Amino acid sequence: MNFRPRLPFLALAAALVAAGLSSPTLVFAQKQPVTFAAASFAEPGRGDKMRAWVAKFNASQAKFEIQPVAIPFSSFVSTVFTQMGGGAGPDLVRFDLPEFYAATEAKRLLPLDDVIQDSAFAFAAPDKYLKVGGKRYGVVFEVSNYSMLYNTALIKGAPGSFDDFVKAAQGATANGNFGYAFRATMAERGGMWYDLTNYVYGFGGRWSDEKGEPTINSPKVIEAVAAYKKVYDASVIPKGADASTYRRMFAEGKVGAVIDNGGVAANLATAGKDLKLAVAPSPFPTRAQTMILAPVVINANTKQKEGAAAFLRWMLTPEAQKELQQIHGASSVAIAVERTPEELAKWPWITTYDSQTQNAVPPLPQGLETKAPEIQQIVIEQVIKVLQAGTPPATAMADAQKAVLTRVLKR
Amino acid sequence: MPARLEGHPRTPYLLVLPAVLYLLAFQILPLAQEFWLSFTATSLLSASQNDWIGLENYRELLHDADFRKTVLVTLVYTAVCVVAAIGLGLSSALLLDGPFRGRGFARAAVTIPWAAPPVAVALVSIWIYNAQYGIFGRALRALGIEAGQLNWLDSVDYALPAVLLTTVWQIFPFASVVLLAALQGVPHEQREAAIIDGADRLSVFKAVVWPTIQPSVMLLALFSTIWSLRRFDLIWLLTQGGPVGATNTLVIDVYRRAFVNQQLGQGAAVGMVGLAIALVVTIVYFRYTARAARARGEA
Repeated sequence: MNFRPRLPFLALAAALVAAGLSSPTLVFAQKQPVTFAAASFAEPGRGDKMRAWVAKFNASQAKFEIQPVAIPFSSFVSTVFTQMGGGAGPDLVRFDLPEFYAATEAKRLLPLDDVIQDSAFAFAAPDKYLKVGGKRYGVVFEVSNYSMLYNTALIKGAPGSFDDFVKAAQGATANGNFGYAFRATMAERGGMWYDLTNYVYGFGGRWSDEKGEPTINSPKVIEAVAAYKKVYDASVIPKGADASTYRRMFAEGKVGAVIDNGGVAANLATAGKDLKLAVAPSPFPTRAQTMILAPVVINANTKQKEGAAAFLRWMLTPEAQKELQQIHGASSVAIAVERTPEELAKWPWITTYDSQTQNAVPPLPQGLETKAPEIQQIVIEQVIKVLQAGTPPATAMADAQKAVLTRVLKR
Repeated sequence: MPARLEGHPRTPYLLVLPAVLYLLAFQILPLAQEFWLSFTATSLLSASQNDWIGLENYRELLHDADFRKTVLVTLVYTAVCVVAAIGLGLSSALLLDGPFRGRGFARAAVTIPWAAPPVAVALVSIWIYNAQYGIFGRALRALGIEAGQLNWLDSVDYALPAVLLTTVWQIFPFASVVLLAALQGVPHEQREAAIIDGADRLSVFKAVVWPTIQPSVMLLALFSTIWSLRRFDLIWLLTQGGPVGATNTLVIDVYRRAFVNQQLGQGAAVGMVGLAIALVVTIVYFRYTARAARARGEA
């Protein structure tokens, strides 16, 4: 009498157990979550592609599951640094170079030498920048080089020199069009640093020497700042337009040239369907330019080192690298991956970006990487004085050098 | 039961306990920790590793010409915001207090800037001030004013006036609404009596209106001062404190030192200077109101 009413319940329980064993949801629930924070996850378009890419790792794993954490670029550093400083934070983080060095110095990153064997991978040149004190603290996630993009409807051919470039920009400035665009405001300090650094490196200067001594007042840097001022005063740029605005103007055919990274080039090529886009090396005396170098690191607070390491090793497999490079567009990845014929047919100029890798230098003052935010603040303020108040470049850069030595390096 | 609760000597303490706990957890303790942090060299990335350096952060601030400029910019920004917001608020409130057609609509319309989110206001303002496309520069150029050629937000000389214009435009409606409410409390009989006695409009304002609305004006001045001292969003979105520190106020400086330069200790020291200024303003206000109350024989 009592046994029969229980039968349906037993059958239901058995069905649930059987369903559970075969259900992907429950299987995933048994996996250990490994969080991976990157601003790219929050980007429209690329974020979805990156999630799909991460899902392939998850599908290949029985033990770990990467959980993407999307944090907008504008608040990424303060959010993640605050979490890491408080003893928590994501297990894996995609940093930019300034944050990478700051976190390394603060001992917030795990050394990866026991996770990644150098001999097992044919790393591209920028990998060397991710070793600090002989130890590896990151793996390249994205390298984006800088070159000059120009609209052949406004600028007929690649300028052969800087003076030719200025003349071409002046020639293209008419009928509501501008010959060129760059950043020149304090509100875009971070982006302006990259634009300015391209001039400095292109004119043969560096922010510091091999010993880590600031060289902000060196002749080459002064020459570069004078060139920046020359373009600013040439009435060829849409003054006050921020980067997103002038990039949109470029895509609409209203700006002749910009010096920008491969990621932007891919976006502009996609956005400007009718744009007559061409790419050439930046019009400076040397081919040195800066780059965006973004490593993936393991947070020292992680409880999931094994899972994070498994992801990094998977990320470096040829298939994962190839797919990641396609997601990045005109940027490259940790290991040299050949462009597919489809990519080359779609964007023939992509090889100009790829060939720039050998001339790419990180944007931070060598040996002073952890002091970069303060140095940037001082230098940009002085350059704005040059642009707006007419301070001579030599005076402004001498003041910047002095301020860096006294206020930042406490000498 | 309610009767026992009301009569119980501990009831008042029980009633204020939640507020005290809230203040303790979310105001006093963080403030105490910030005070302590200001005496340490603490990085954002190593918040738990603090090196005690005594007054070094404050000594650096004292010798930092840029910081002195930051304090000056903060005081100028605050003073102009308070005076302009209350001045415009009072003027508009006096206009809106009088009878005219469409008064209800005008009263509603004047609150629009206050209701607009600062992010939207900042984004619109950036375009308005744009030298090439903005209506502001175009209007100045049409009037033959040379400064219309400039991008005000990027100009060392004009960035602070531009930020102030935007700020005052956004905050004055609050003063207007508060003072309009205060004006409703001015006794009509006294106004009429003063007018019958031959007083002109200015005399009526000084003798009848001002004494009634003065406490509201003082309270507005206190709130406006504190809000202006701590205003971050609008300034950050418009200029990030630049160019060359022209709009760098104390709160912008706190953010930059703590979260851009990752120096929590330095940021905390700047924060304490800001707190000290706010405390001085508050103490002055309470002393003034106490003196005014004594003068009226209330205390």
